[in-house]
Amino acid sequence: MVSDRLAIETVDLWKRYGDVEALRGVDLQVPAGSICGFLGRNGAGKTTTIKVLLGMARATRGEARLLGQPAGDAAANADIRRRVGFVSDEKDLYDYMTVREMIAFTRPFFPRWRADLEQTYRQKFELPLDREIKDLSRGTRTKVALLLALCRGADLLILDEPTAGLDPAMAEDVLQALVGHVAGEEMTVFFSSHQIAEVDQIADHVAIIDAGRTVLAGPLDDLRERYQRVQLVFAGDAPTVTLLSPGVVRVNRQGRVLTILTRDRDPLMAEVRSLAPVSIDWSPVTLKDIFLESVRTED
Amino acid sequence: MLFRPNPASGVPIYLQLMEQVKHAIATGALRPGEQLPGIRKVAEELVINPNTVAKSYRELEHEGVIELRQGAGAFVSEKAPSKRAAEKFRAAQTDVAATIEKLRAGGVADEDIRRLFEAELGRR
Amino acid sequence: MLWQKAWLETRWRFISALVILTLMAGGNVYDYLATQRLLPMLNSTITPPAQGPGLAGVIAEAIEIQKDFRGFIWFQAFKQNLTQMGVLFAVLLGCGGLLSEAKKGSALFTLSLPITRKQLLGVRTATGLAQCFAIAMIPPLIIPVLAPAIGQQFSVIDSLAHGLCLFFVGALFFSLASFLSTMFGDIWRPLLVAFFIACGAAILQVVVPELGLFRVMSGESYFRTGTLPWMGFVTTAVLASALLYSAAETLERRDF
Repeated sequence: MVSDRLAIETVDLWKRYGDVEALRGVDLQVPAGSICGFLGRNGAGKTTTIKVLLGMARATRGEARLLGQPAGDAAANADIRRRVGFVSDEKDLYDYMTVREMIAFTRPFFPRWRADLEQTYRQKFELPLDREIKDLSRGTRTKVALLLALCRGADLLILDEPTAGLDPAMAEDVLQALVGHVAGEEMTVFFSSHQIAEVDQIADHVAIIDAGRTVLAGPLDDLRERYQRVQLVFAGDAPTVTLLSPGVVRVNRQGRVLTILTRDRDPLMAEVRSLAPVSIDWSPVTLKDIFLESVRTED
Repeated sequence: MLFRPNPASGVPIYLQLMEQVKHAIATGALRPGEQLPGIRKVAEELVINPNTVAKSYRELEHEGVIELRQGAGAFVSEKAPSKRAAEKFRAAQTDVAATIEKLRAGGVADEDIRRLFEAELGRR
Repeated sequence: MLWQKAWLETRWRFISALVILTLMAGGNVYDYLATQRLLPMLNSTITPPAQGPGLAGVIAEAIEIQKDFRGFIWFQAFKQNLTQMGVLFAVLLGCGGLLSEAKKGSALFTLSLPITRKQLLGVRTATGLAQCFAIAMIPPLIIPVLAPAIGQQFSVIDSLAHGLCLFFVGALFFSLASFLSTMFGDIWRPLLVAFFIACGAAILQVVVPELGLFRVMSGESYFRTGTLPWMGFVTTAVLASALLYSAAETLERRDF
């Protein structure tokens, strides 16, 4: 169940590395109990945002909160990490340890470790317990990293590209594990991904980041209802209009057809009727198109 | 019985699920009084968000198609509307929406539309 | 367990250090036999110069000290081999840590664990200092063990005293390497910088004999007069603490 509490919150987050502004005002609000997809182009600032949340990098400006605790407070952050599972995008673990040793190493840090889930995932993911991490394929390493994150009894999972490099069957296994986890436990999943289809499939919230800024965020169903395309056909040539409604993203005139893309359907509905077209045709916009429009308009 | 919804179709997933349940009832795959699979099971099998499944079930309960019994699960309503009735209702919904759009496109204000409908209904 | 991880990451360095230093110390014991055979030859062919300041005097003093077993061991093992190699191994043990993990990528996993960076550094430091202690105390103990084999005696107390001297200065170089490792991720730069600092200390020792870091390490005052270099111990301990504190602060501010 999605609650009022925020598992992740950032307010106007800025991060500078040398003379590069990696984050230029990121605002995030991820409610507890939700599955939130974090979308953005490469280099948009997804990994940096995650690093700031987990205390791996310090924000230049702004606030970041993880399960209510300020990310900048080293002691509080270290404590709250007991309830957070993390998988990095490189999925790097200790090369020289075996899978079994890696699990044995991680287990004692988490008093809420779930031995039952450990058993389940060891079998489900078919992990070669006595092979060293450096000898594992990327897909298997990802599964080990996921097991280590899922068995912690965590309240929040932060996953950076959890299915990258996995074949579709393994990727589906991973998504299924995540979905099963959220259904069974009181848990939030925050995952970044390039696979928009995945976000479409399992997320109920979404945040899109571009050039270090949040460009769009909120519940996915809301987004799907409000972000719409309308096609107007006129008796004569389509009029050249400057639309007054807020949220209009793009207007396309072709002959007698006017196509309007808007972020917010409701204010536009009345205005569209006032143009007196012959037909009005509203259609939904796919998340992929929403994403592409959101990051393109920033150029 | 329930198959994977298409996330990219533009129709919200919870609506697609609702349709599937109603279809299952109409074709007899689910009978009145029968239990629906649990939220977690559906989420895991179809690999979709459990909150979405929960939303579908809530909406279905709201429409009277299913009953949510505390602690026991979701059950097909004994008084579930038949396929024909549901279809008729939906077709009517589409007709009304189309008529309203046409009237609006013709320049008739919403207030006037409402008065027109009420007037027509009141006449019977 | 963090201790296990620290051990796994440094065990080969530690074991090599222990083995090599012990072999060197043991080797020095047997070297004495060879020297004993050479010494009469030396005396009969060269008139030894007078002892005193200047290079000739230093050489003369060196020859004189090494005539007996205790002096020989001090000169060869403690003054040279164990001091020089000891510094090298102490620095090697101090390298590594989070930044080098960052180059390999697993730093993010470590940092996502519910422990503070100070705790991480603390465990690594404690393990390293324990290892420094071991490589300082154990190799000298081989000397009293092997000495009887060549008909000589060496006091265990002397081994322990010299071990302590090796430890304090070794720990200082370990702390230096630790600190440098919070600034550089590779192993080469800390090594290089530590090397230059060691050279600097050696030069300083010649110019200002009171600031003789390596005199402390070789336990010269103990050898000559039987008193441990307490001031040296205190100074190195204070400097080492300052370096470790700086290491902790630097690590705390680091962005990964």
